[in-house]
Amino acid sequence: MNKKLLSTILASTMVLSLALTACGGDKDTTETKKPDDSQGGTTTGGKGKIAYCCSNLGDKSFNDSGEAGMNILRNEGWDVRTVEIGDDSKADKWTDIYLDLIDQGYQYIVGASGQGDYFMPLTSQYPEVKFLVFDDLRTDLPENMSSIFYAQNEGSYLVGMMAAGMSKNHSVAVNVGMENPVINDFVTGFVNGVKDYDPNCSVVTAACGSWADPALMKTLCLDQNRNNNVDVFYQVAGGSGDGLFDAAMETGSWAIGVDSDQWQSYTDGSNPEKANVILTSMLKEVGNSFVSFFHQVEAGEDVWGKTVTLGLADDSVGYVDNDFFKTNVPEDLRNAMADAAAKVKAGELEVKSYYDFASEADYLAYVDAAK
Amino acid sequence: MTIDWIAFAAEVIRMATPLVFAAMAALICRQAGMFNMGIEGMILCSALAAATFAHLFQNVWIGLLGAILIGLLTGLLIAFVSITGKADLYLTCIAFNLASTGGTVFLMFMMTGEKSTTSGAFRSFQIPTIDIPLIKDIPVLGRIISGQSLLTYVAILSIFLMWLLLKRTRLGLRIRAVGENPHAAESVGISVPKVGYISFSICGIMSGLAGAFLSMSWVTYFMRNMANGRGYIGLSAQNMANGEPIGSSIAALFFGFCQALSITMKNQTNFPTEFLEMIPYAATIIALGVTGMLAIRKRRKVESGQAAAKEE
Repeated sequence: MNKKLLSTILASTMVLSLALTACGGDKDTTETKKPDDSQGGTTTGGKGKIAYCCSNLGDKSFNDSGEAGMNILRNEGWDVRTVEIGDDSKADKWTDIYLDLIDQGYQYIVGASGQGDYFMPLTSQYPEVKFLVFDDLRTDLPENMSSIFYAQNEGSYLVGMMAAGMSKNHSVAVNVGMENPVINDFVTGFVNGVKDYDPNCSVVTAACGSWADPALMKTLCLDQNRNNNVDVFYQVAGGSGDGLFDAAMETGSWAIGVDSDQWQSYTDGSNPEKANVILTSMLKEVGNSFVSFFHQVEAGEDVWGKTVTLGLADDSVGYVDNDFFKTNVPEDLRNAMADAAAKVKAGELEVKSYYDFASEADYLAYVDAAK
Repeated sequence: MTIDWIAFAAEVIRMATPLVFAAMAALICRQAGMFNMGIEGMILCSALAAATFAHLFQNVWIGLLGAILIGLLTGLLIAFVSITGKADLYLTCIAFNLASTGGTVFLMFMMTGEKSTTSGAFRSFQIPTIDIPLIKDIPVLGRIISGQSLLTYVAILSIFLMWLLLKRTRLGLRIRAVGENPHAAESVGISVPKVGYISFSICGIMSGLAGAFLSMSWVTYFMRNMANGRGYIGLSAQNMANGEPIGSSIAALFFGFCQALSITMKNQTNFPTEFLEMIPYAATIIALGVTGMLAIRKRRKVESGQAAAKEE
């Protein structure tokens, strides 16, 4: 056997595969801005170097919203670098990426909920570096780490009211990608909103098991439409959510988007007719929260070692109030939603949260009772 | 709670379609003596090709042709590396699958500037569904069999074509001969590499159809990693039936049934989701174990029969 040829081909295949996966955006820097000489350097106040570590850009919601906020900061003169570090399956490389960034002089490392546990060991080793974990509720924060938490239950409560009001069959569904505390908080708020508006409306909750299997999600929703008469769907499922919109189109049902205005992104795309099922989207303004957080840092305020919770009152969660929403949702329902939002803001109405349940079993019992 | 079991059966057939194609792709290589794990990556590449070609030419059929073409090319690529290049087939397939996971996202990003899905950037095209006259009026059967995607009927047809090819044609005999014993086949003048290339081509066409079904029928866009292990499930389906077309498609149907069942149970029961997601894969292991044991028992019977015959 021609061993030389074999080894050459093997080597070239491996190199090719590595090159392609790297280009595929696992650890690839999308945008860098040269540091501004006059700025950067100090960790107390002023504008510094930020490293935004997100799993992958291009999700049209969560990570892209963060990137939009980082772009605002870039325009203000911050030196921001966005690093796509890949999802949980690449977690073994995360610490190395952070160490590289610290070596390159980045003073602020920003990452989403899953990354908090990887930040923790570094906080004591690098006390001069600040860590910000967003979309996470932590109680064990050291002095150089903060977390931003979004009250997604409050926003979900409002779209839950709308779902109950729009459902002709008194049956709605919330379908998620995979279950985790943050996602369960979405579900809790939604169920609470549906039941407060219409106690007779049933809520089906299901996890499709992947953030990128729209085909499975579509089948899941068709099944709910057939067997549970669901006619309003709420997606908290990342890429799989596209399959939910397909199912809503096929069955003539309504859908609710998440994180950013999904009606708008479909309307701007090549298939605008798909937008016509998306009544509204529950907003989670990740980008805005970055901007306000780093403005506080710039002003030299003491923001470290704390968890900041941002909800309706801070305009960090909410729903899209566009023309399509106004045309299709009756006025009294829209007013009821606005009233509830005002009550939550004023502190008169408290929305149930996943973090209030004593145990996972309590949460499951709550969700099952809604069926 | 009322479950519409007729619609459920139709759903099983829909979910089994890509698995049947994947199983057909796997078994033709298996019959030629090669275990082609690269089907997963081939399906992924074809799915992207289907969405891309359909958008570029604004025509669903060109999308389908593009998917078949890319399936064919990727199949020939693996064949070239492993047959002509004599590289290890398993390593080639693993490298190819990894490359296609990243490569499809890379290509999608080059073309659309998106890294997650083409649903916004590319116009969606769907392969039409077909109502079969007469059958569609039969009460239960009509709802199950009629009204499926055109590709589902192609999948059913491909099972019988594959059976005909393997059992009733000269080429099929040669493929099986090479799979059984390449040296013996070579000694009677069959070109082993040529047969290998032909089986990889057929495998490529089948993978192309699977990819087209995912991105132009089930849903109408490409999404990163959208094959989600369906190529591997197809591989184990053919493994359960020892590469027989009819048995493999029954196995693929069984896996489709398990997937559909786990979905219905998610919506209708309180079982933990993680347990339900395990069902299709646990079923794979159990089914492989059971078929393996049956095969061993059969062989033992044959052997003991032969021993008894000798004693007489």
